[in-house]
Amino acid sequence: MTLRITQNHLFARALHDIHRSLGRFTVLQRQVATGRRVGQPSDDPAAALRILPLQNDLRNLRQMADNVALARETLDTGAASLEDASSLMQRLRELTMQAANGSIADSDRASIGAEMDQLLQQLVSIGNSRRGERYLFGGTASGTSPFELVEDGGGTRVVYRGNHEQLEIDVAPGVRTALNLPGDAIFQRRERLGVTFTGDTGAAPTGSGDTGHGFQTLQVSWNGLHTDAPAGVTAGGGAGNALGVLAYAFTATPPTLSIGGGPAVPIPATDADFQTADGRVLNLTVTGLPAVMSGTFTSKAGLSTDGGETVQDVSDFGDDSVGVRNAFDGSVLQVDVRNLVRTGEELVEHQGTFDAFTVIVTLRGLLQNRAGLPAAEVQRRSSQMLAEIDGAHDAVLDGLRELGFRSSSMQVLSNRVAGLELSRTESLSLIQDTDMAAAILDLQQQDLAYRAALQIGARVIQTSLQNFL
Amino acid sequence: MSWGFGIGAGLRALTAARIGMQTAGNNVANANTPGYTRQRVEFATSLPFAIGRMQIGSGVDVAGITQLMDGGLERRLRLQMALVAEAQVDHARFDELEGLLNEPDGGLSSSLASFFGSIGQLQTDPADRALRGGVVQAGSELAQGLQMLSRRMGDLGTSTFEEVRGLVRQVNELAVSVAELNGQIISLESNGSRANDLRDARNRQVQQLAELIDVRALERDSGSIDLLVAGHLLVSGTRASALDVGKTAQDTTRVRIAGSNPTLPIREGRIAALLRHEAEKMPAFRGRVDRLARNLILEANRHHTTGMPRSGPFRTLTSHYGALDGDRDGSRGDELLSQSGFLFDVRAGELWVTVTDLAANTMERSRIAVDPAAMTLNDFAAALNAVGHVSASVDPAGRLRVSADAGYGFDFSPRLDPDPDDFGSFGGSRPSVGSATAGPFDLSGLPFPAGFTVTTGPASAPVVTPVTLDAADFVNSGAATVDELVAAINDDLGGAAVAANVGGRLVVRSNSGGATSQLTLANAGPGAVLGALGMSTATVAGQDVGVRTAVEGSYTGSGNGQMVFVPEGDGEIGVTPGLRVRVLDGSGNLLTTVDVGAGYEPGKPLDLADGVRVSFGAGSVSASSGDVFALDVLADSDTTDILVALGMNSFYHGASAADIAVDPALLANVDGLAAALGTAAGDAGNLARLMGLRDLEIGDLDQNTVEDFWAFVVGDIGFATAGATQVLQAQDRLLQHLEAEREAISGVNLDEEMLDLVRYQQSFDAAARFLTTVQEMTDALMNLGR
Repeated sequence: MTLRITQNHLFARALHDIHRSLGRFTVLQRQVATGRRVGQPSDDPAAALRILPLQNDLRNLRQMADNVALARETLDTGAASLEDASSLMQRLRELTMQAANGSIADSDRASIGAEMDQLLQQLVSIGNSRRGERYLFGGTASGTSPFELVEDGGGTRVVYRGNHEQLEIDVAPGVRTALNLPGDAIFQRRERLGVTFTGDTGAAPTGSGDTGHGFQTLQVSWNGLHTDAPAGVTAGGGAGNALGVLAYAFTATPPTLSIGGGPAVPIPATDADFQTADGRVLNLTVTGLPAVMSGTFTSKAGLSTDGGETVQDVSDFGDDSVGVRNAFDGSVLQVDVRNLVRTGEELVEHQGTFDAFTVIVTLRGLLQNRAGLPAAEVQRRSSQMLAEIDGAHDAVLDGLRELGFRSSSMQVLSNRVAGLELSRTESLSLIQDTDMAAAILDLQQQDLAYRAALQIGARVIQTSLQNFL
Repeated sequence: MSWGFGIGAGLRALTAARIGMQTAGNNVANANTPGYTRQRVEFATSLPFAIGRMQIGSGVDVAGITQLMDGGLERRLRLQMALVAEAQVDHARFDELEGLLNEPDGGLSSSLASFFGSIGQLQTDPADRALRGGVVQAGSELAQGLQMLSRRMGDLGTSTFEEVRGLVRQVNELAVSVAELNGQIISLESNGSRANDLRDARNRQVQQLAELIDVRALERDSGSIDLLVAGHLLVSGTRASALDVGKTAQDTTRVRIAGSNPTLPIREGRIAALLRHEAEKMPAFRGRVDRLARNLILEANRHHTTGMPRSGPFRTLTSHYGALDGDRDGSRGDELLSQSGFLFDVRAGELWVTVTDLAANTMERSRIAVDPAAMTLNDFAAALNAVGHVSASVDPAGRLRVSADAGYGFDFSPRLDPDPDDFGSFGGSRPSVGSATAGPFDLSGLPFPAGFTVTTGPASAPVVTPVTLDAADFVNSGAATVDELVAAINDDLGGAAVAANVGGRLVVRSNSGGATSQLTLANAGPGAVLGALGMSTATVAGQDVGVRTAVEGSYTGSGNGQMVFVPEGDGEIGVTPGLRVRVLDGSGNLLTTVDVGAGYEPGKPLDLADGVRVSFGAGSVSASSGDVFALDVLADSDTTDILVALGMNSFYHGASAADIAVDPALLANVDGLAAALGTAAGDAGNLARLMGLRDLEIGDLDQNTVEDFWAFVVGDIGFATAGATQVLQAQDRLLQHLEAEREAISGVNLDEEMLDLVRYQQSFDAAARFLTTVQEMTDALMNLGR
């Protein structure tokens, strides 16, 4: 059958065609004008599903780029502080070299000591460097100054108040970097090498379980008699220096006592010095003869690393490790007392544990020489300290290297993040942006189609039979 | 044969031609009238009359004027118009909804991103006030974005009601006019004719109705039609009922026949589309936005409530939400937690409370078991009260108020205890004896009352305290728990010593310390109690300085538990060769062993599993006297969500997109933001957890992250909008097609009418010529007679 075509139909059809053409025209026009193929989710819902995660990724990456910039800034600030510390250590070495020089006067040493005092203050303030409100070298305890200079009965020392936690941030997908280096790792790094005792008491290091650092003084004192002393023998009021297990021998007639193979001394005696064969002395009060005439007894030792604040009693001289605790800094020194024979002082050196602060404190003390050491000893110890200065300096340089390495790896990361950002932007652009060439070509085509629709519509609807009747 | 006969035929022809012309004219005139149906004159030969055996034609009759229409097509067209109307509503609604989202270049996705971004920024400097403010602001903007979306979606709902009301008014007007037309058609057609134009008008009304609502028309013999709306009679003959718009209990719009109760199940037309949007489609999306908001609130608060604000542990804290008085007895807090009307459910689990002695900086951790089906808020407050130095109460509004004693603070953070052995049972300065294994212990073989003595003090002045255990001290003496033993022993011990549960082991510790202090446990009376408990009877001496254990790091493991540390032998930390410490989990399984003997530098942190580092100070430890200490390791210090439900130190208030808001206290003071887990100024532990929310796949969000879930919502709205557009286009094309078909049958073609006009004009001319001829013939005849 033939379809009847009515005027109304023609008009409606023409109108519809024009609308459709215009509709497509508008869509293309908007795509070209905004540069976006997907202006709202319904333009291409499948694309919208991919656009949102990509945009999230992009925002995330931008955040990370910001983080990287900030991390570099923080790391570089830290590195700058450590550079100051490094040149300070340099200066310290120079001063020590001068002090170790034999031709230098005592007064000059004292003035070098005074400069050391300044260096100490400077190093503490470097350790307490801040960026904004935040201390750089205190771990996550960044609100309070991490290093504190403490002077008390235990001497001068620098105490670390920070913690060992790292402040980590995301700098690239899956990469976290610590912004900080806990300060004790830089300024108080310890790589225990061993302990040496300098002295003649017979005490020996055990090389295990020590927690002190730098130099310590071990005071070995006489701590009275152990309970194994023969009856009638008590500690005298005078001083003595013999320690450890001593042999004793009484003679009945005349009544004498000899200890350690030394000369016999007539008894009873009050506060009498008894000498051993090797010249050590013990001051005893002896009232009479005991039942057993010979044997051994123990002269107890007292060990202290804190100037007598706490004294560790030693009665068992078979013990190969006696822990001596410093009441001020809590450090423990393990002492092998098996060969401990006499009282005196041991200079204890914890090798490899000199940190920047102890080095300066030790040197300062050495040069101020309150102990009144002979000049030669001061020189010897000063030159001995050079190796420790280098060790402490190396620790600072290691920290500097670590920060520098992190900072430069930030550069690499920032390139990587920028690359990722670019690729994400490209993917996003591929999905959501208008293909301009195609869109403009389309636009022209639609323009043509629109004009054609208008023209043909106009032609068709103008014609009617009336025009010809 | 009469002359009049010829005139009659001519006259009829003239009339017929005139009627034809009139009809063509009418067609031309109504060519643009919507719904007009082309009319055609039906001609028929008029009755012939017979002259003899001949039948002679008497001209033409107009049989009638018929409308050219296809009833089936009209019905299909009406249905199609309804479908298009529905598609239009769908399209408009989704288009509007899509507009609300403002995606992909703004909207919620960018708010979410800047929220997480601000947290990332704060991570770089957790103490910075400006950055803290940034997090609070970004959180607030996110909340406002959600609220705005929720409100605007709600507005769409409200506008549905108004729109439906307007449309129903139109339906009622149309129904009235159909009823009136019915009356006119009945009276006009009572003589058997057809009231074409009135029918056209009525058709148009029905068509308009069909666009609004599903309507069925039933034509009666009288020519009137009855209209059924969703199966209910709206128009019957000349009588029209009215529809009535109201609201259901669920606050959705409902349409009824006025004066009758049941809601009309409208399935077609514009009104149906609006109702469907209001009842199904919009709530589905709104529900998803609410779900997003709810989970965001829950997860953010789970972390925030167990975090640590800048100011450190809380001195006092009041919950934002209170328990409801469900049984209306005037007292709040006596309902079960599960029935207290909290916005978030309290789950069965455990809450860990940490009380910090602010001066000494030591912390005490307590576990509170919560069972919402057996515990009231008052019970919970009582459980908090049982924790030392903390008091809790429920105020008249049902809110929980917790405060710490002066000099103390409390928090709910899962941080590690930096000083886990403050009881001092691991080489502490005060001598202690611990059981060799964890409880419970089988004491069923003992003759109760059984006892032992505890000797404390220096060897020179021993203090002997007898301890008696009765069968009544234990629920089941075959499995005496450590806590029962601790209670029974402490009852007798007095001030000389104290018993405690350390990592599931029973420990008795002297209260005096130092190297001269001693502790000896000895069986007294029949039965070897200490043997059954696995406790040494040897004399244990104290130390001048105890072993200092310290913990740092943060626990990264999953699940809450304990790390229990026991030495493997007797010896001195850092000195005794081969001295090791075993690390057990809460159930006694070996996690790892660390070497603390010769070569270990006392105080040096050792890495254990899951981010925990522990260091041991110098001193002696002993396995034979049962040295032990325990460290609570918590992945989640509140597995119950009770803090979230109560709103204690929460980040967000509310529970849906409609009421989500940042805690105003945080807006006022950004120091309240719990960025940390510990008390260090640079601690960003909680920020890391909050940041983890970004990648957290949430079960209630169909295992999606918050951002992905939102992307799916946006995508689905996009799909729905695009789908609605496509449906509209398709239905519209179909409508066009049907309209074209209708035009082909019922439409007016002007050319055709022109031709008709010419044809009828020629017929008229011819008929007139015929009459002239008849007249001439008559004249001729007249002249003949003259």
